[in-house]
Formats: sequence, C-alpha cells, structure tokens
Amino acid sequence: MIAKIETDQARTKEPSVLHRLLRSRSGTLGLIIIIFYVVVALAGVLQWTPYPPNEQHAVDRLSPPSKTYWLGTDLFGRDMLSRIIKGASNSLYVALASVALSTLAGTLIGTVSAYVGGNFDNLLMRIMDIFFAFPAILLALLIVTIMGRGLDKTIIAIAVVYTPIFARVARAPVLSVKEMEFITAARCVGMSHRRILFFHILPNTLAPLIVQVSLALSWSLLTEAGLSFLGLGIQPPEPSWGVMLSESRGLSEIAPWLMIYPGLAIMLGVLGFNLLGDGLRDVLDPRLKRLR
Amino acid sequence: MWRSYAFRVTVQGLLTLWAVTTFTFVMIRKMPGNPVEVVIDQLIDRQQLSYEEARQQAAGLFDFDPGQPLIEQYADYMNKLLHGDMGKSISSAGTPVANQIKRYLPWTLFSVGSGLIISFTLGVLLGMAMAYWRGSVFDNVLTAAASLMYGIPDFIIALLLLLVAGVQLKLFSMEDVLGGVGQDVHAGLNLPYLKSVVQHAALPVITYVWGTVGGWILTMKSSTISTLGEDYIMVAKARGLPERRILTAYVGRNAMLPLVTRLAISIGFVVGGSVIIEFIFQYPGLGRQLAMAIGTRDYTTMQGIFLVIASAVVFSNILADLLFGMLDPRVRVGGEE
Repeated sequence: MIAKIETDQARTKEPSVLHRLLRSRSGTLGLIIIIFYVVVALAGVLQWTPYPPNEQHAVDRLSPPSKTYWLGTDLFGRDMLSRIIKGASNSLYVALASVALSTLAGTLIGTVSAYVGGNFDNLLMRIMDIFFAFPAILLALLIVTIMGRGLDKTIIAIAVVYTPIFARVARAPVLSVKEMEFITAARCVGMSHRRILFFHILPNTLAPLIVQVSLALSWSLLTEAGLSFLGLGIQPPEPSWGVMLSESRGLSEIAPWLMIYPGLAIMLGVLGFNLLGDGLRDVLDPRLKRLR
Repeated sequence: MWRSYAFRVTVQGLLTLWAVTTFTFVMIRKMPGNPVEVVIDQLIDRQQLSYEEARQQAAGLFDFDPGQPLIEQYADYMNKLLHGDMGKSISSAGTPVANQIKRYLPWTLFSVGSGLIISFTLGVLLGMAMAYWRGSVFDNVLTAAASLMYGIPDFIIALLLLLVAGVQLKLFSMEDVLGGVGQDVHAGLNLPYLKSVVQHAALPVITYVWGTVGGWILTMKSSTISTLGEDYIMVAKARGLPERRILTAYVGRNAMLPLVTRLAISIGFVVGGSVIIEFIFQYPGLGRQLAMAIGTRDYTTMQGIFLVIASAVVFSNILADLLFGMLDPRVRVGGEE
C-alpha cells in the first residue's frame, strides 16, 4: 500500500512525456512539422489534391508557379502541388510500414537473443554484423535489385536494412535488466519465460525504442527518396519526392521549381522526424538530464 | 591479455568478412534475369552455335559456368578470390573486375577521403570552441546551423549546389564540374591535370563536408562539455597550468577519445563513398560504378565492388575495436570473462 502511494506521488510530480516534449523547443518544432506532414499525407490518401496527381495538362507544360498551379507544373504538365501531396502519402506509407516491420522484427530478435544469451545470442549478433558491413543505401540497393522494383519491395528492403539497428537497441537494455532482482523474483514464483520477456523485460526497452523509431522514420524517408531517385524505389508515374527530384535533373535551368519543392519536402520531413527524435531522447533518456 | 583481445577481435572480423562474401555471392546468384543467358542467346543468334557450344563459350567469357551447381560455383569463386582473382566483368566483357576496381577506387578515396579529413578537422575545432564558449552567440548560432545541416540529406545538398551556385549564380559551368576530370587535359603530374582533378572533386567534397560536419561538431561539443566537468580539469586549473596547455593536453585529448573510434568507422565507409552524390556529379568513383553494374546486372562487378566496400567496413571496425581496447582498458578486461 505504501509503495503504491509513493509511485502515485511520483507520477503527479513528474509531468507527462508529451508535456515535457513540448517544453523543449526542438521537440515542439519537430512535432509541429510531423503533424503538418501527416495532415498533408492524409489529404493525399483522401485525394484532396487540386488536380489528380497524374493528370497531364499538355498546354501548361513546365509552367512556373501561378494562381492556377501553385507550385508550377512538370514536363508532362502535371500539377506539382498535387504530386507533392500524393508523394507525401506514398513516402509516409513506405516509412511507416518499413519502420513498423523493422521495429517488430528487430525488437523480437534483440530481446530474445539477449534473454537466451550464450552461443545463440552470439550467432544472431554475428549475423546482424553482416548487415552492418554495408552502407544502408547500398544494402537497400542490393535487396531491391534481387527482389525487383515496386512499392512493397521498397518497404521490405528498407525494413531489412534497419532491422539490425533495432535488434541492437533492444538487446542492450535486456542484457542489463535480465540480471536484475525482480526478474529473479519473477522466475522464483514460477512465471513462464514468455511472460517474463513480454511483461517484465520488454517494457524496459521501450524508451530507447521510441527514440529509435522516430530517428528510423527519418532515415527510412531518406532511403526511400534515395532509392526512388536512382529509379529503384517507387516507380513512375506514381508520384514520389525522390522520383520528382530525379525527373527535375537537366531541367533545373528552365524550371528550378521542379527541384526546389520536392527537395524542400524531403528536407522538412527528415528534419521533423530528427527533431522529434532528439526531443524524445532528451525527455526519455535519464542519463542526458545530468548533462544539462 | 591485450593479445588475446586483439586476436579475438581480428578472428571475429575475418569471420564476418567470410559471411559477407558468402551472403553477397548467394544473393547475387539468386537475382532474377540471368545476364549469362542473355549472352548465350546472342551467341546462338549471331554465330549459329548450338546451345551447348554457346554456353561453354559464354562460361569462358565470364569465368564461371552458370550451369554448374551453386555449391561448385561457390567453391570455384572462393578459390579464385583467395588467389586475388575477382573474375571478369560481364557488361564490359573480358575486363577483370580487379582492374575496374583499381581504376575507380582512387577517385572515391580521393574525394570522400579529403572530405572526411576536412569535415573531421573542422568539426573537432569548432565543436571544442563551442563547448569552451558555450551559451555565447557563436555557440547558439553554430549549434542551430549544425543541427540543420545534419538534417539535410546529402543528395539534396548536391542538387541545390548545382542549382544555386551553378545555374542561378553562374559560379561555374557544368562541364567544369561534372565528371572526374576535364576533357582537354592529359593524365600525369602536370599542373592543368591536377587543377582539373581538384576542380572536379570540389563539389562532391563540399557536399560531403556539408552533410557530415554537423555530426562531428555536435559530438565533439557534447564530449568536450562532459570532459570540462571532470575533476582532473579542475585540478589542472588549480595547479595554475596555462589555459592553452589545459585546452590541448587535458581537454582536447580526452574529449577526442569517443571521436577516434567513430573516425575509424567512418574511414571504412569512405570506400562505399556516396552512390547518389557520385551519380549526380557523374563522378567516376566506385559508387557510381556499382549503380551502373546494378543497372546492367553485371554480377561479377557487383560482387567485387560489394566485397571491397564490405571489407573496408569490416577492417575499419576491427581497427576501431582495437583502438578502443587500447584507449580504454576496461573493454578488453571485460571480454575475458
């Protein structure tokens, strides 16, 4: 009973994560950017675009930004604003799906590996080392080349690339938590391994994982843009910021808006997830409080 | 103790390297759209050969026989690899892959290597200065700038450089910066050639520095701040040591420790270069060559380049582990249990 009262008091004193996040400037800015980004992406899903993103207006090819086309049109007379909005939904879809996959797979591998320990852990981590031997974009390139192009394959490729990172992030806290007394106690009262793993150990890995998810979303956004830029990600005519950037090459002298707006869109998205990740790390990582 | 630690780290690294080699071999052989079959079809078509003859000829051309079972191909490949033979390129038939790598690797090493040196030096100096005068306008402006630069993807920097500096401000013409070296100069140790090489490397280097310096600045700053709080710095001050000596011998050296291992790892990633940056600037490095090999399904070249890139990463990781073990005795003792 006493212990319960104490934790309740601790809770009322400690403001919520969101509250603390909003206190930091970068966290707030990141959150605002991401909310804006999600709203735009939703508009793309619901097809609330000024024009259909793939509709060609042959008369208005390469027209600069104007009242009719806010961000101008591309080589085929397609409205840039509509394509950027639809591009936001595509890139957010790829980012969310791939990070969700890699978080699930990575966390599972990392926690089980650390919990079992011994040679099993050693073997799994050495396998993860293979993936770390490639720069991220190159590994994604290799996987896409083998599986073929397309939206779903891009998602899988990016998920495979970031799974080892999640495995490492999830593994470290498990290694220290599993030696703690409350785990021994749980084992003594006869709890199953599965119950200990999911209800006692996993919650302790959440804080670093949440930070990692936010950062991974920014990398994933970037990797998708890079793959699409090289023609190995989302396939035209489906709009993607990376595809749009690559289509702008060679036209930058006569139509700089083709490059500027997709470029800004990628930058803003990456920046938003990065700021949010940094903000979350400051809030969730107790070690960093000391330094401030 | 040190010896057994070094031994373990090295063996582990070599095992990883072997696994990486096998992994790339299997993955690439599993790729759809076998390029050898394409050549066999061409041979049958052009020279009216039977399938069997064409297959043998193609196998001779490529240095491997696609009809063999995978395990035999693998044994053959590993055997040749151990003798330093990486096979022959498929797309530019007959050229040994090793020659291709020798031709393109120096460009990547030069551009990304100098980028890394500039970026690291700049980051360490600025980061230390910012930590020393933390809270000042200088610190605040640079911290914001560094985080912002860190957040901008490198290939967007590359495109913006071309757009803003090249197209809008007309600081250079495209022929002067795209590619590895100008058309009108002769390779060798002459001034016009060297000038052209530096000129063409400038944009990739600027892009690399722009994209990475923010990370070095922020790491160095936080590392220096935590070092400044250490007791031995206070003691050094109390002993009345000159400011400059404290800054270099006490703060600088200790604050750089965590960066040294990061630097070692970054050196490994130099070889991988930046596929997209090299692609944009048409820079004749290994990354661009890899992208082209993927486009033409050139198995052997892909395998060779992936192997070189992965070995660089693995070896630099070994180096980082060894360095870290040397600098921090706790690591190698901890591994003994």
